[in-house]
Parts: sequence; C-alpha cells; structure tokens
Amino acid sequence: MIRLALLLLAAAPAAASQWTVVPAQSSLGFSADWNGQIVQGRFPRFAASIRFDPNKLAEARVDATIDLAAATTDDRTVNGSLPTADWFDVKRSPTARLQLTSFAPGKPGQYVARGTLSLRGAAVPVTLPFTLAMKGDRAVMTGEAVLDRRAFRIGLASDPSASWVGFRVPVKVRITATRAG
Amino acid sequence: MAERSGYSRAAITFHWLIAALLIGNFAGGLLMGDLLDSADPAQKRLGFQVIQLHKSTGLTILVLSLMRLVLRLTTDRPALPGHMTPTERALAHLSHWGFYGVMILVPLTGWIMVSASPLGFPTIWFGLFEWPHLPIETSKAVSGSANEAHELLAYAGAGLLALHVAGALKHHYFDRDDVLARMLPFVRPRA
Repeated sequence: MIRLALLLLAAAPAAASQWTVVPAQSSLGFSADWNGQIVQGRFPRFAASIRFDPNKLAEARVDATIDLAAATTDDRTVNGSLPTADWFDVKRSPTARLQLTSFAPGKPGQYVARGTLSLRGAAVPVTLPFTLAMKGDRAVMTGEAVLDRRAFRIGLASDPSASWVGFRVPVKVRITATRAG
Repeated sequence: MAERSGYSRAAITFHWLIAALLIGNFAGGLLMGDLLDSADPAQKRLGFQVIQLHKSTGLTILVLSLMRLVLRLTTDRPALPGHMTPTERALAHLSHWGFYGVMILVPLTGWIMVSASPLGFPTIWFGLFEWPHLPIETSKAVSGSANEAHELLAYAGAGLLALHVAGALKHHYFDRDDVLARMLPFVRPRA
C-alpha cells in the first residue's frame, strides 16, 4: 500500500507538466501579403493540450485544434474569400490540427518544436521556434512559423503564381498557460 | 397600345441614368483590367477597389434596367417619326431591344463570373452590404466563359451605342425630327 502511494507520488511530476491555455491571454495570428500590403488575420478559437517540462523535453507534446471557420481579418473582402473551397474550405475541413512531437533546446529560454500541421487534408511538417518564459505555474510562449500556402493547396485555383496573394504565410503564436493540477 | 407625344419623366431619367452608369462602368472595366495586370502592387490594390466599384455599379445597372424593362412593357411611349422606312424602323427596334439585352445580360454574366470564381471574392455594394453570390457551383470554366461573354457583350453594347448616337444625330440634323429632343431632359419637343 505504501509502495503504491510512493509510486503515485513519483508519477505526480508527469501530471504537473500538463498546461492549460489561458484563452484571453493567448493569440494565434497569421499574415499574408496581399498586393504588397500585409493583411493581418487571426484564429480566435483554438484549443490545445500541452505537456511540457524543460527537464523532460523528450516527453513534451502539443496537440492543438484550430477552428478555421472562425478565422478573420480586418478586410471584409478577404473574410468573404477565406472560408470558400479554394482557401480554407471550411465545409470540408473545418479545423486544422497541429501536433508537435519533438522539442530541441536552443539558447536559454528558447526551443525549436517540430511536428505536423494538418489542414485541408494535407499533413505537412512544420518547425516552430519559440521562446518560453516560465514563472512558477505560469508560462508565456511566443513563436513564429512560416508556412507556404502551396503545401496545403491553398488558393491554387485562384492565384497559383502569387500574383496577388503571397505564398509565404507567417503564423504568430502567443500562448499563456497555467500549470494544470 | 396608345402612343404619347413624349417620353415620361421616368423614361427620360432611366435613359440618362443608365447611360451614364453604363459608360462609366465600361471605362471602369477597361481600367480595372489594366490595373490588375500592372506589376506595381499599389496599382493592383487600386484595381481591386475598382472591381468593387465596377461590381456595385453593374448590379445597380441590372436592377435599374429590370425596372426600366417593366416600365417599357407596361407604359405607352412616343411613336417613331412617320418618315422612317420599314427597314429603319426594324433597325431602331433591333437596337433598342439589343440595348435591353446588353443592359441585363452584361451585369448578369458579370454576376455569374464572380459567383462561380474560385477566388470566392465577395461583392460589397458600395461598401455598404454584401451582395449575395448566385447559387452556382464554383467552377473556373463557368467563370471563364461568363467572363468572355461579359466582355463580348460589353463590346457589342459599345457598338450599339455608336449606332444609337449616330442614329440620334441623323434624326436631329438630317431628318430634323424630334427623336433626339424628346429624350433630352428640360427640352420641349418640337411642335
């Protein structure tokens, strides 16, 4: 019995590396070059399951689901296009899924996460360098991944040669999370 | 149907209002193509603004033209001058109905082209509200064909306009009848 209790205690740190996103202090944004002008967009609705312990990077995992239908920009005409078949195609794939499975340390407080982003039926490897500031049970992570819309076949019928919409789409992530449990 | 001595104020208003919008939108359509083909991003952005203006104006023309068609079918209008030969009369009718065809089909093909386009670009009527797309499938082929029809019909309309203006001037200066004057606002027809 005592042995079992000790085992449970030993298992506790693993549970402690679980994090809960604070939505009000987190954001997921993207930007696109639209005829030489940057259009800023955001994904206001997403959920993430985060397991992260700087001392156990091999066990770190992030699994996030992003609601594509909620994506919005400051441009009404772009907002009209976004959900349609050639762009996010929200009727057929309403969500994107980001799975980060490999974390490598860089300079202090910096990491490089690697994984897969599934969007519009395409699963594409992604690299997300990020900085992490942990203070007690609170952590703030900021990072940026640069995606290429061609990898997800986004806008290829409308603009296959980037005459109007650039191929490079930087995605900015800012997550505030609290230690769960 | 009885014939009246002049055009109604409504008919005159429709005529000139639609004429101004059509000519402006034809110019806008040509300008838009040049701007979008430009290598300068600022010109391209301007091109997209002209697209919104062009679509808003075109849909306005469509609505006004349908109203005008109802007026044309339900009210009396002045007779053609007695001196016109049967061929001239047939040509006059042909060109007038040709205009109705252009006034309705050019905006309609534009609307089809935008609705079927994979770009999924919305039409925001003069920045005020979103004008719905026609309920048709997204198809590059349909959008492309509609685009071609749109342009051909627009050029046909420009041809009709040249014929129409030439006809009006001929009536005024050669035939010396009231065909032009009775369509001019603020002008009393010749006695």
